Amino acid sequence: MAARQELEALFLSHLGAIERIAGAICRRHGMAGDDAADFGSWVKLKLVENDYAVLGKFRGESSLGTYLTVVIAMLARDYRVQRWGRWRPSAAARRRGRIAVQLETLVYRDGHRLDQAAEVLRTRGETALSDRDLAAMFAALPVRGPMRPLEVGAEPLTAIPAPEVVDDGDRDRVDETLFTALDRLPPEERAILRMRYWEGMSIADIARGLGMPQKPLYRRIERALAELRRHVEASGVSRHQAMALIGELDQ
Amino acid sequence: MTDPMDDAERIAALLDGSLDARQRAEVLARLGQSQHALEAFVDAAAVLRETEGPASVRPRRWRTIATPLALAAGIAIVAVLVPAIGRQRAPLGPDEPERFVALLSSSPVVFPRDWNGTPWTTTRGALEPLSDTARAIRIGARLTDLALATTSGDSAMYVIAGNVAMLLDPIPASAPLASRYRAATRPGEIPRGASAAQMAGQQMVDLGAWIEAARFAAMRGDSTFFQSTASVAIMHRIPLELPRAGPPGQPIDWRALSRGLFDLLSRLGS
Repeated sequence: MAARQELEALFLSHLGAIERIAGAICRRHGMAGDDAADFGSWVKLKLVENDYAVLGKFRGESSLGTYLTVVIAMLARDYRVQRWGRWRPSAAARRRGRIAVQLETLVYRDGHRLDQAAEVLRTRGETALSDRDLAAMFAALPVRGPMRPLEVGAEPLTAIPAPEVVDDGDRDRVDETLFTALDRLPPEERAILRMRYWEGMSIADIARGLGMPQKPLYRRIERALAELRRHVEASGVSRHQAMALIGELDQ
Repeated sequence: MTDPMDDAERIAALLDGSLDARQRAEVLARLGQSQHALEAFVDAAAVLRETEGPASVRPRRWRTIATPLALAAGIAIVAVLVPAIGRQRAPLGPDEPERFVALLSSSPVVFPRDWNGTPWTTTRGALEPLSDTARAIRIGARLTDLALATTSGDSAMYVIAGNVAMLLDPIPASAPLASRYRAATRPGEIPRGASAAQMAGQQMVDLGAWIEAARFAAMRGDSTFFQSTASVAIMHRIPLELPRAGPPGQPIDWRALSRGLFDLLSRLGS
């Protein structure tokens, strides 16, 4: 392993980049103010720990800047888990798609007001829905205990009528079938579909990140969705329901 | 259990485009199995897009895609390189491996940010069972990187100097020279490459240094580099033909050349 002095010099020479990356990660996850400052300090501490062990593990298979970006992205997840516990989106949110999942996560896990969460999503380019539309979407989600104090938002949630309670037992079973079918896909196809439909990446971004041309990627996604539908149908779900389920992914 | 930092570097390599098809499939499969890895990939891709701009302006690292040039050159190298150069009664040129950097047009070349373009999985050659030839090739390549980093004033020069020291360590009587590389804290303290070349083998160090400089030239589409007397002589001896985009007389296929040089350096240094 490289000498400590070498690693320290490397850390110091990339300190500006580390801070920029940490800032970008914070913006992406709606962390600001004290949270962002705490995270930035925590990241630097992690990189300095054990005589710059993280930097010492760098093998040169990638550029150092990209390596640091991925490392800090991983650290961000660890930071959120450490501070706010493990988070799972509700079945209702998953059913309603990636915007609902992200909205629920921003409000209940990260503690944003609804209007703040809406602004984060629009800033990220994830959606163009208005505050009212997002509030209606949010009102249809189950109420969950906040993982940190939930501030009162600009728009009272009580102003948005809640939908009637419907027995969603059948729908939950179908949803579970979808996720079981997803797990049966080859890992590569699973990763691509997750990127597209659960992590909200555009085709262009997926293509760029994986170094693939877009046209073959479109075809690959279509084939993966077709296979997903076959697995869902093979589990006893009707063709009509399976098509509706897969179709919702694209909404 | 996989070290998360192994995942991090593999994901980073995927984003940089420096994996071959098989490696890319392995990492993609890993993303399909690990939500943690997937989220890191998604976040990192988004941050890179924000900080570095669109893909059209973000330089991609070379991929280890086999090309006819690489395969032919690689096979030819194994079969004939050492005897061919061994028959030369004089070194290929003056004894400084860094001289090939001076052949690059628009010198001094700016050392690419975060460049660490060695095709080997590690430069920690002190513990790795390398042949003398492979070690000399690696030293030559790193001496070119060192010259570029020094010229650019890039602080990476000290890390690269450390790499050179580690590669020198197993060579008998190299301890004083390796120590000088390690101890350097200013550009002027970094030793010239001639001593390292003499210890590791001038001809192979020169070859490694030239191939690394050629990679920079190919990245820039620098035809002047390949037209120089020194480059023509080396390409003749390897042998190495510049791939064309079509029939003879057509422009050089720089991407194919970059891939070929990457593969060549990888094979020679392994």
